[in-house]
Amino acid sequence: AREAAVRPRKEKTPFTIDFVTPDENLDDTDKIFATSNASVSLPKTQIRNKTRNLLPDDKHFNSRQLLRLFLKPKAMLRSKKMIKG
Amino acid sequence: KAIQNIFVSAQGTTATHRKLCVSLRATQEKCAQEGMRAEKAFCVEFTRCLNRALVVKKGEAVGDRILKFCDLFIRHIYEKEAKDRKAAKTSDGDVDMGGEEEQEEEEEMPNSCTTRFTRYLLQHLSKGLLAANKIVRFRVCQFFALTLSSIPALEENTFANLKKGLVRRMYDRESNIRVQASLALMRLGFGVADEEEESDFDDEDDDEGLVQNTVVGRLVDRLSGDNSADVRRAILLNLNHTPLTLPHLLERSRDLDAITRRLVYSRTLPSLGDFRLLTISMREKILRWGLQDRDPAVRKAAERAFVDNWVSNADGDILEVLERLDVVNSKVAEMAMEAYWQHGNSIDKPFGTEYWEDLTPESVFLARTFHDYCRDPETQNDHHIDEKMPEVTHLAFIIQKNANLLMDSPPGVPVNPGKNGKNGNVNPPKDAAEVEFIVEQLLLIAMKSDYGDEIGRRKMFSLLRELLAIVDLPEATVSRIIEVMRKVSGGEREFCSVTLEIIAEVHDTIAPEEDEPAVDGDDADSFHSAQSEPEGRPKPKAKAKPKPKPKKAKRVVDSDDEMMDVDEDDEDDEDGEEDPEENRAIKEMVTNLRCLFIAQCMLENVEGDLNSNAHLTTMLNGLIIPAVRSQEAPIRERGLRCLGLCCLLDKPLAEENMALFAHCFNKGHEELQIEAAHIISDILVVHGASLFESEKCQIEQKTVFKMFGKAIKLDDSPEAQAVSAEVLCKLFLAKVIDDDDLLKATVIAYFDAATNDNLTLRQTLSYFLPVYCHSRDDNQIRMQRITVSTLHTLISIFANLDEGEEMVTPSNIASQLADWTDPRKVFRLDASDQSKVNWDVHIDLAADLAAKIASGSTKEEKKILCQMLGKLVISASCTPEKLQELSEQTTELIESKAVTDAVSRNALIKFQASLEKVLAQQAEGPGRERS
Repeated sequence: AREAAVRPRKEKTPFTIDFVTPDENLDDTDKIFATSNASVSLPKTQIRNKTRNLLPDDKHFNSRQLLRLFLKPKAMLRSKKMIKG
Repeated sequence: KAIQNIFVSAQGTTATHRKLCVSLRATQEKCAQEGMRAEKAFCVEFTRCLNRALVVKKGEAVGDRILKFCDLFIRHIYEKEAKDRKAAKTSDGDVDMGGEEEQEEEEEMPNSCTTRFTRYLLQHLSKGLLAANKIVRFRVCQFFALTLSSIPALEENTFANLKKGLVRRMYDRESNIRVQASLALMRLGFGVADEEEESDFDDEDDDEGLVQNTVVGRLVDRLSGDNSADVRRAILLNLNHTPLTLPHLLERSRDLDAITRRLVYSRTLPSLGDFRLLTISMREKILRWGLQDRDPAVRKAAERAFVDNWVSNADGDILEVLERLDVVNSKVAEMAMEAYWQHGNSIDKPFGTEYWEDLTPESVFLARTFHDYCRDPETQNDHHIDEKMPEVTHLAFIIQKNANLLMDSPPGVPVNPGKNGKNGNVNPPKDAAEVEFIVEQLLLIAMKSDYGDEIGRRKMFSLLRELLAIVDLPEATVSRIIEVMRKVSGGEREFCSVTLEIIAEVHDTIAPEEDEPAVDGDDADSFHSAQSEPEGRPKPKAKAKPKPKPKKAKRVVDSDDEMMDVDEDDEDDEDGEEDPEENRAIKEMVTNLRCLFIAQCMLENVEGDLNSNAHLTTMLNGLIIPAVRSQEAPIRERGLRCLGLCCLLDKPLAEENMALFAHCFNKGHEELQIEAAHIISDILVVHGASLFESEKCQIEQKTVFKMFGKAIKLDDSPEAQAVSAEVLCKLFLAKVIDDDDLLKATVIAYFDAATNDNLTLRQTLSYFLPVYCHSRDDNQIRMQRITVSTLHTLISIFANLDEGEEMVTPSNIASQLADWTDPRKVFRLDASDQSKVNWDVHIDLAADLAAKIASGSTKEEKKILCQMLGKLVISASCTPEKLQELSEQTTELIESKAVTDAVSRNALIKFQASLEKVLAQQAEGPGRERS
């Protein structure tokens, strides 16, 4: 009765753990903790990341670089007409 | 049983946990009193219940609650026991027992039902660390991560056992298990201090030094090595700062994962306590990376870290913070200060006269950035900047004073070492680089000052003019001076004529040689007189003289020749006699270079037509052309730059010289190539490709463009390669180039394994390609046209990769190309209006792909192409005839057996199905515009 009062109020997932009913599989510690031959560890190749998970060096290329002249970095391309006279 | 009921209640809500703990403890104590057997039964039942929670998969709240409950219970029983013992002692009459002793006793860990319980529990759970069921492993690790910090002390055996088991789980297949295992290890006390540990894990192949074999070492290794950002983040947030770990923690400011980067600034840095604990280079790096991060949230966090934490670390004294940065040599402080002002900081009191008396790099930098911020047209609040800065006349005086100081500062002065003794070394308090920095900052202030005051303007102008004639001034300073001069001069014409006067003066400090005609036409006289000088030794001249003519009269004895606090020639006194010819040649070279540099700076600030400005024509013919023809490479190269700048002002001149620049690009060394590429690019951007039509232009457009196309393939010269790529990008965007083959070459250069290490090229292109394709329909159509053949080339490059070479897979390239040619992504003024979208781009591309599949290619290529079809956008708004045709083409392809493998066939069939669906849509509603 106590559970019934609590359960509907919390999340919609009706999932609860049954602590009471005996269960052969769950009550046997060895079964729960059973190991298998399959490796549970990362394969060696995936252990280490070559780049240390770092970003490449950012050259900070941006639109301003594309829009300016090499020789006159202060003048933007729109000054084209001005230069042409 | 009671235990069961308690667990049942505990899973529902955490609210009652405390109450439940108390009653569970009561049960436990009751069992303990009943004897060992009952106590054991309690443990067994407890673990039995816990086991049921261990199989609950991740994310289920009930499982988490049970584990939390266990943690609370463990904490509760230890507290309870300590309290009970204290109570017992008090009742025994040991009232005076000090707290210390009590604690000591606690650490002894008496054998009690509490410790027996935890030992049992931990032993039980540690068996689960190797369970095949990943849910169980996860829950077990989670349990440890939660509870290990609640247990005051552990038995040695248990501890070692746990450590070993958890370290293994740091390398679990499942990233969430790795997270919990790492957390658990840190709860266990690892990473708290850099304690010495034995390296007791020999079972793994760690040959990377000892650090690897300690738990802290492993945590540090996982911090950078784990491919899951969650794991890296968990360690970042929980690993303690020690000299050993700190650099690794801060390195995460460049983590691939943006959230991790942000956490470095929002959590790690503030928790550091004081930024001054970092080395200066760490401070610089961490600020630079953060303030320039591509993710706005990271930038924001970095700004906050600077403005809030760092400044308050220095008790709000921003000057103090600046002194802890390298303002002279790095750009970081500039970005940091922008953030500082933008975050609402200001300067309340005016910078008084005494402030300017004795400037430091930091103090002038502070004033300069504040001034910039206030003068920024985007800033609404000007913070009464006019009242806080010195008047222009005063500013000119300050500049003069500091410029004089610069002339007296030994190390930064390349040409003038002999002066020190004579001057008695007027107390240079700062090193030359600092003084130069101060002067530069002052000039930057002058650049943005208000010149409403005519007297002030004139004063500034004449000061700058004087300064410019000083040959010893560093080039960077010269460049700034000329910039300010342009601003304070009356107009372009006045600016040019004054600059030319200065060039003449500077030039005249040497006797001109045959192949160096002087700027001024009148110079023929002085030219002659110089040659007739018996020793052939140049004499110093006063630079304040505007005209070079009265040269001879000026040839007085060296030492008397000081008009200002500046001179430049005393070297001659010492070395002149030894090898006058060589000495003179060097001096001549230096002076010529300076003239050309002034010319270059001037040209950078000029925009008018070359021909309408007689001064410029004079300079071109008298100074620049001879320089371009000079035998001396440095002079020639500087001359080339000036010629390039002139070409920007005059189209016919550009036409005449295009072939020359192309020649430099083809034949020059790498630096010259880059220079030439820059010049050609600028000329084409300014004048357009039409200059190739002129008869004066002796080189064909095709040849020039092909030259760049070739250069982006040359990976033995990465810098020239990157510059060529950038040039092509610019010319494409400026619509100077519209060549399919060049675009193809560009795309190939972007993906080719050969450019892997050329980050500049890669980043330029990764910016350019989407911008190009998504900015205009016709650009995108060009990309669509070359897609199939480009992909073909790239697939064969991929197939022929050498061992160790890395490259994006063709299938990823195909996705990228599909994205660039996605018609929905082309920029529209009205993004919501889909009627202008050119839906046919992907239809045409699909037709190209189908044709390529049919006409034959390798099986691998066909597979990629078939799969690429599925990445295209097929809309009912495309041209119906084209869609119909494509559908027929596809059907034919399916029937023709050109494609045999299942993956490709399925892709084709699926594509055909989608086409039919869209065809049906068109049939039922031809008027429908939207897909």
